[in-house]
Amino acid sequence: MSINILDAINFQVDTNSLLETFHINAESDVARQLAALAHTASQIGKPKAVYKEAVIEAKGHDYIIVDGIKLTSQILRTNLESTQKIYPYVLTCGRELADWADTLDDMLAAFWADKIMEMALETAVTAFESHLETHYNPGSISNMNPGSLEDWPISQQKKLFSILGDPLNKIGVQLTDSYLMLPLKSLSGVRFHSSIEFVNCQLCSRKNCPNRRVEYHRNAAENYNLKNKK
Amino acid sequence: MNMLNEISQKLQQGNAKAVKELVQQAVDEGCEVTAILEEGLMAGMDIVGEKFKNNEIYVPEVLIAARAMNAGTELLKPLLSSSGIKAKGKVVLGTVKGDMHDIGKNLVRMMMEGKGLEVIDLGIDVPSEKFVEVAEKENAQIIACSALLTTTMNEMKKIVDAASEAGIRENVTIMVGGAPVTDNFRESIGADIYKPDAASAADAAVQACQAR
Ligand code: B12
Repeated sequence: MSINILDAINFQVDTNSLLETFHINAESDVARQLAALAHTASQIGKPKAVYKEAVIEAKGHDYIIVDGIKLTSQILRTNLESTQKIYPYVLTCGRELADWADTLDDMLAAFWADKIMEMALETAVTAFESHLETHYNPGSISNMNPGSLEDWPISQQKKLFSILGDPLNKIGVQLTDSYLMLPLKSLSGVRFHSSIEFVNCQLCSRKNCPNRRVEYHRNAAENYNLKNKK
Repeated sequence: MNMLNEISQKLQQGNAKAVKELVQQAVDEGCEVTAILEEGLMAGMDIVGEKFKNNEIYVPEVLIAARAMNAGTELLKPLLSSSGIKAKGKVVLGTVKGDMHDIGKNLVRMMMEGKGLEVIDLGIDVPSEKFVEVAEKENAQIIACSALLTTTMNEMKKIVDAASEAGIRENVTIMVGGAPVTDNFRESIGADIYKPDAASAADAAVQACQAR
């Protein structure tokens, strides 16, 4: 099935939200430095996304097969019980911003660049979500990322990348030997239709997470027939 | 004394220019270098660190204060080395091999520098041998490693082992941290210190250096 490459995503740094988040006076020197960085970043920033609709060819006990490639995860398999399609994706803030950030020596400038790149990644997430919604209309949707839960380990990134062909060339994302992505501010995963929303966090007991979306459910693990879960 | 207090004040406001001028003035007036450093610059930075710990201020403000502190210490550096006074200690810091998360590590660096430690930041995805190699070459008292993935946490054990193999285990304090790391884990791999946040990591690093 054809692959979607979103590489013309409009990106503007929202300076005001950064000023607000970090309690910076809009009239200060710091705000002016941020404005200058934001100006450059908005010009060069090219967040990108690559994804496709893939049909599940087979389902096993703890795996699915997509495009001849086996993805092994009990939780993913269980979540896909009543659907035949998945949408694998890789999203990134883009090499342009990452290369630019590398040139900044000042710690504060580097900090702002980091926040700006996170913003670019978020922009890619939003663009991906709205493209998916308009073109495939999958209805209510859930998300999983390799490496987030033990049951779907980070080594599965390799499989995900092969399903997408070669995202490196398409959006400039590189997979390292340890299955992490460069640029740093990149995200990979699959989306799928599900009538009950699945969120990784419900199976993750980690405390103090700034990105937690729902509470940890002690009993949820049992519903997925997972062994050794607290 | 008043002038040192003023240095501390200006540092807290992040006014690098004023800090630089005041430090120069203090030196010219014959103020002791260690007093300028400890009672002026570091005293100011301690307050900044404390406010950050209590969520009264945010990262950019700490970085601005750190920048002002650097402006002052740059001036003092030649005087400090000629008077035989050394930095509080040297830390080799990095995110372990296979891991790319660096937000926490950067905070640790910021707080450690604020405490007057010299930090050599090796960045992300750092192999265990590299930590040890640099620590040995630079005569660092501390190796501090950060890991955010349960899969990369085990790299920390390799760092402990590599330090033993290189024969420098006795000479360095190995600190570990990052969200999945716990004190039990630290014990199990034979590392020395675990701390849950950047501010206490910096305090513990200073203590460890003093104890050596
Ligand atoms: C922000 C974040 C990201 C960001 C930015 C990363 C960056 N530049 O650092 C983005 C969105 C890019 C990202 C991506 C991914 N991430 Co991520 N990420 C996080 C998140 C939500 C927060 C981490 C963070 O910055 N916290 C804030 C800082 C301040 O806290 P901290 O790092 O813990 O540091 C503090 C202390 O621990 C301590 N400390 C830290 N280091 C040290 C060192 C020493 C010596 C000491 C004493 C103390 C100390 O001091 C710090 C300050 O007080 C965590 C979840 C979590 N709760 O940790 C997941 C998490 C780490 N990520 C995870 C995963 C799986 C990924 C991806 C692989 C997902 C994917 N498939 O795309 C990718 C990989 C990216 C890549 N390039 O390959 C998983 C790891 C699971 C596991 N097996 O352990 C987590 C736990 C989330 C989850 N459950 O899914 N991620």
